[in-house]
Amino acid sequence: MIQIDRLVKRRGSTEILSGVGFEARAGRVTGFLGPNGAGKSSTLRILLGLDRATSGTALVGGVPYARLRDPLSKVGAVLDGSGAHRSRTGRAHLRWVAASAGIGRTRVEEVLAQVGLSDAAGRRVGGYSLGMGRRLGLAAALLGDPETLVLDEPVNGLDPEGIRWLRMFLRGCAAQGRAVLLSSHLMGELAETVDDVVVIHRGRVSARGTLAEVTGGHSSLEDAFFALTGGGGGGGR
Amino acid sequence: MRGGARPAGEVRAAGARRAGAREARRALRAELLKLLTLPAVWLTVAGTWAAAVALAAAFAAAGRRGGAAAASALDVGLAPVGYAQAGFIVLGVVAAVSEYGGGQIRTTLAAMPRRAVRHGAGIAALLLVAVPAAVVVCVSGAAVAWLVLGGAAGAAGGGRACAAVAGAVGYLALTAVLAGAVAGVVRRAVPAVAALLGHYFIAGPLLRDRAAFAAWLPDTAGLGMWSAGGGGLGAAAAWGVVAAWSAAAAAVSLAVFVRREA
Repeated sequence: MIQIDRLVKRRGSTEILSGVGFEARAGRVTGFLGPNGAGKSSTLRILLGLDRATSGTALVGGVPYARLRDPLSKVGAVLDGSGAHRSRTGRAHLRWVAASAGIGRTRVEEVLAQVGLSDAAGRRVGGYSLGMGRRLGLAAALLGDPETLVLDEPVNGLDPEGIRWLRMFLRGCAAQGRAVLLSSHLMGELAETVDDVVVIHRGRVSARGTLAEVTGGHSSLEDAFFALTGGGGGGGR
Repeated sequence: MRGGARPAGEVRAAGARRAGAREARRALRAELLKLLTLPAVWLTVAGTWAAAVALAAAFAAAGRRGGAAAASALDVGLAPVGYAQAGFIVLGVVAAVSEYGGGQIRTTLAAMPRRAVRHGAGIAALLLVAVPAAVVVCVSGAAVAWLVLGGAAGAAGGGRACAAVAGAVGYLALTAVLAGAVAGVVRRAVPAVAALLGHYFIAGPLLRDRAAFAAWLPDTAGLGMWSAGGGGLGAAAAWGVVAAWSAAAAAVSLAVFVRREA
């Protein structure tokens, strides 16, 4: 379970996040929606301990990420790109990540098979397509069989088949009782996948609730989104 | 607390220490795997070794033709260290900068969120690669010089030979750590390599004969660790000065790494 509470992030004189708060609960897929530059990535980066908040808290199971013991078994995170050095093979990348958590090599082969990269595992990451890089990032996130999955714009770079696969995969994760938090600026992809929705716009949460609650009164999630974010189109990051 | 149950606080503290030690061991293994699976690391080490052996052979051949009064095979064989340090600078830079290619640093921090642990493991892993590489470079340089010079070589005592080789190995490994620390702050390979090579091959040698303080710079002080000519400091002082530079650079890079947004 992820709890974000009154998160504020200032960079110089710009306020990127102005009191963002929401939860992502176990057994549910939570969609974190907003136009580009709304503050989605900033929120997730603070959640994962990559950036520091000016104030407020972001907790995983009640603990800040940087204090988690065995973080890979608590949170699997997929940020943009593969997260791997281009001159290493996909398998070598997963092996060092596994080693950092005391996870064995059989598990590396399992996650490679799970994301459909077994055949490409011996190739260098630099030769991977965008979609393969995303799959490698997901494989790394799955290594520790985490209780929570955090994905930033996971459908970027995936072909329609990949998107369909990911959607079913994430539903399956939630069905196993995991909390899944995924950010996106694409509404169509999300409507069929999420249980709960958090809409962020210019660093503030403009709506949150179940899919039905947020969509209520609009003909679709997409219409609701544009109504809630003032017609779409974001400012800078 | 003999003869009774230990207080809960003590048990918890012992558990936390064990967990901390396990975490550090795993981090070291991960960092070592990273280095060993990076082709640039192997290329750098192999290139440095080949260049050092070729230079040792060339220096020895020149010494033999010149008939210079019995330079010892050891001194001739270690002479390439002055050039091989470029390879160890590149090794340190490659190790540090590889974190910043393809967003790997985010994977690293997600897997090892306690940054001081991960940074320490990174330095230890670099030493575990650099020390054996330096042993191979120094020993094969001396061996090649000995083979080429044959009977013409002056003898070096066993004790002095060991001290000189150990000094050369230590110097090269500590230089790799210093270079890695600089590159970890700069985060880009080309400026880091340019600044370091600029110091070690241009500014350092220029200052050496002109300024008294140069004796305390890492390159000139380092001469006292391995060069027959010395750098003005005794061997022990030279070790201390170079180690202090590397430790200070590592401390600065740690402070930057812990504070910086990744």
